[in-house]
Amino acid sequence: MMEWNKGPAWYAAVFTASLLTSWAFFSAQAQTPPTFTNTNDDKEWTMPAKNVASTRYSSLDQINSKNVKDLKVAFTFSTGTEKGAEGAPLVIGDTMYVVTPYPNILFALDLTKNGALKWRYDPKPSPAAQGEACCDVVNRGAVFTDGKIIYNTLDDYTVAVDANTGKEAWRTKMGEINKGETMTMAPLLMKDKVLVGDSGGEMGVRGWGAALDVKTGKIVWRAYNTGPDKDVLIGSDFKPFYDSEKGKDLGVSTWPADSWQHGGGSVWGWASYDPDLNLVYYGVSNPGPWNSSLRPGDNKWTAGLWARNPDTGQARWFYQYSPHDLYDYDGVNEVILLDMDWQGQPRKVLVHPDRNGYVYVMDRTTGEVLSANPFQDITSSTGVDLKTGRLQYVAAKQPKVGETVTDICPAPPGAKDWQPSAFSNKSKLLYIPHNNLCFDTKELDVGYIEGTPYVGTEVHMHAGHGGNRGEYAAWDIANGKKVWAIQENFPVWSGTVVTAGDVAFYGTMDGWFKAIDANSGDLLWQFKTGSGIIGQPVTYLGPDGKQYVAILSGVGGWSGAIVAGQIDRRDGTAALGFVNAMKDLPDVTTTGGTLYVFAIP
Amino acid sequence: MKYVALLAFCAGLILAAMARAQESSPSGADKYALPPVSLVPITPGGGTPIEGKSKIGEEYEKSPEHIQAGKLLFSAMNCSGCHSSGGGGMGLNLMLPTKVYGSSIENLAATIAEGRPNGMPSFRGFIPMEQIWELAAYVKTLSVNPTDK
Ligand code: HEC
Repeated sequence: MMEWNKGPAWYAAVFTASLLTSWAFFSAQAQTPPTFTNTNDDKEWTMPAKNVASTRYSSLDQINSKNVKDLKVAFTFSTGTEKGAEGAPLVIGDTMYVVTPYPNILFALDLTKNGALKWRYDPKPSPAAQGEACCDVVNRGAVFTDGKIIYNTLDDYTVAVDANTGKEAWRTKMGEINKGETMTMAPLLMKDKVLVGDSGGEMGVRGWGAALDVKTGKIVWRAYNTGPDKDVLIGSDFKPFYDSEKGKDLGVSTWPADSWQHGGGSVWGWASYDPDLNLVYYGVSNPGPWNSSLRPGDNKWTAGLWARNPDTGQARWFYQYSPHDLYDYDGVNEVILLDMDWQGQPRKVLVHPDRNGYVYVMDRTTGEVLSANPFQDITSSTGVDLKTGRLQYVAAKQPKVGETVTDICPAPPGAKDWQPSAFSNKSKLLYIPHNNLCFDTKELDVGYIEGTPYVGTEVHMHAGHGGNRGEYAAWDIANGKKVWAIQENFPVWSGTVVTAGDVAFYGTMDGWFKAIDANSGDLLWQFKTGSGIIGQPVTYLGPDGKQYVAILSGVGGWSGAIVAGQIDRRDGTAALGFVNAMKDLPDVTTTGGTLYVFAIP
Repeated sequence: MKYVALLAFCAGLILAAMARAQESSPSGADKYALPPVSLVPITPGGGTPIEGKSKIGEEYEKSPEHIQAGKLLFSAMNCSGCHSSGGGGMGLNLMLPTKVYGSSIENLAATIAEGRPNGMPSFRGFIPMEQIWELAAYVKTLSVNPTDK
């Protein structure tokens, strides 16, 4: 269904769009990370997003755009797993910690001995959990706090492990695999609590986010994303910016009959925390089922973003990126907290590249959308009305029961899925690894059967305009446009990191780990790892004072399910229609999780 | 209003299936009962593995009506949610001729009734045995006549 006779040079080509003009523009109104990110701890990497503002920026500069070409493997470690490795390694002191996809083993590696294995912790998750995870059995990482490594298991436990001894400190049961709930997100640290949530937007779960006390593992609060206000933790503090989020029990009244009880709205992606405003920000997944004809209404509180008090869970505001989501546009992507001048006014903002194809800049105090600009070709909507905040859907692209609607862009995994972007304190650009996919769809009858998928659509995805299925883009936040972009054959399903050495790193699904000049987008160095890369790169100082860069290789995830799940390429509808767009992936990569750590010798 | 009708249709199917599951357990249990099956072709001490052939298996395997009914059940019972159009996804690829847990219709029926450890739910009691045989008959065809989907 697509030709790939254009060769690697073609799809790796860098196109430069109005580099000079936009450069002059944004330096005048440059955005900066909030002061609470200034911690001088860049030796270590203690949480996947680097800091609670989720910038994934490191001030380390030993490895820079001049010498990165000399980068060599320092050591490797096999995780012994064959599923998608989406995690971020952590570095605390002289130890590196790696969480694997199911069976969610935590490895501690001794950095004073080239990554020699110190200990391993096995949470022994139930094998049955594998059948309840929609999109491969991934895990997006752990967080370090209070001497513990805290993470989630596929079978719904949040576990805390003593970072020195590898002994379990506590484990808390958070959900039920029998109801289709699994857990895949990395916890977010909010002072003395962690935020966690469930996966299962394709399983008809009733999604939630919850806070646990890091000392004891006790659940401090849990907020559901559908149902009455008291379950959603909406009270007198709730001050949403737009009228469509105002009213009593919208989590019930924006759904037909009792369908909110299986309305999805899970919490499986990224979250950020502002200690000054004392607000936590986390996104909510798609509503269920995908078949949108079965759930007329806005379907609150799905496909949007919460701002909540981390101590009580009480909601401050909500913004719905995709009201009555038609296309599986989960709202769970990263939110990067920045301070910037907006039309002459200093604003505390958050920046969020959404599945629906727009990069949002929002006032994070109030929930007002300041701008929303497309970063992929979009046919499903024409834009966001800044007065009402509402996404403007295109009627002709609305899915129908029993009739195929074609060329809807972006596809269900969105212009960007979970793969988190990075913000450079130096270039002031946002680096966005993302997809370029469109799809055809038909809605089908579906009834809710507990513990089985609740989807009700037939999907065939395909490459978007240009034929490349992925892109790595540098984004000018103030002007809402791309500065340059690197086209990739496959979706860029890895995260990224950017450093004060003016280099950005990311990986490709055919296994290349790449270093890019953060200013020009030029490819400076690349290394072929053993399997496709969908992990999150990190950088740190080793015990020898040298800078290292680490990445997990190991294909899988939703995009790589065709390889990790050995799916039949003759069935384009498989993996919720992703297989149709990835039929050539088994020709270029095999499974196998390996940690790669690089340094300049 | 269309969606309400759809919902009612789906719910109806499930209720009907559950009612039948209850009915069929006391009477007629023998006809549809699973024969013993083995999952491996090796036996120690020179024995022969259980072949697990059954009359009912043979009957369903050859019946276009049962296969067609199995096809409808494959969607209605949401096998397709996990196995897509047969190519797999959350569940295993069913278009391969060699199945992990045995590819005979008897093995397939056993897999559907008992479930399998890595996340295949046990449908015993939720789907009546006669429909499990229909599903097994349909699953069998996925590897015999695989088509692009
Ligand atoms: C919740 C997801 C889920 C649902 C629903 C589901 N399956 Fe499965 N199925 C699985 C998983 C996961 C496996 C692999 C289990 C294992 O390896 O232990 C599997 C395995 C199987 C196998 C064994 C394949 C082999 O190679 O041996 C068959 C046959 C099968 N399923 C048929 C069905 C049928 C028929 C239905 C509907 C009645 C169904 N499944 C519903 C998840 C599911």
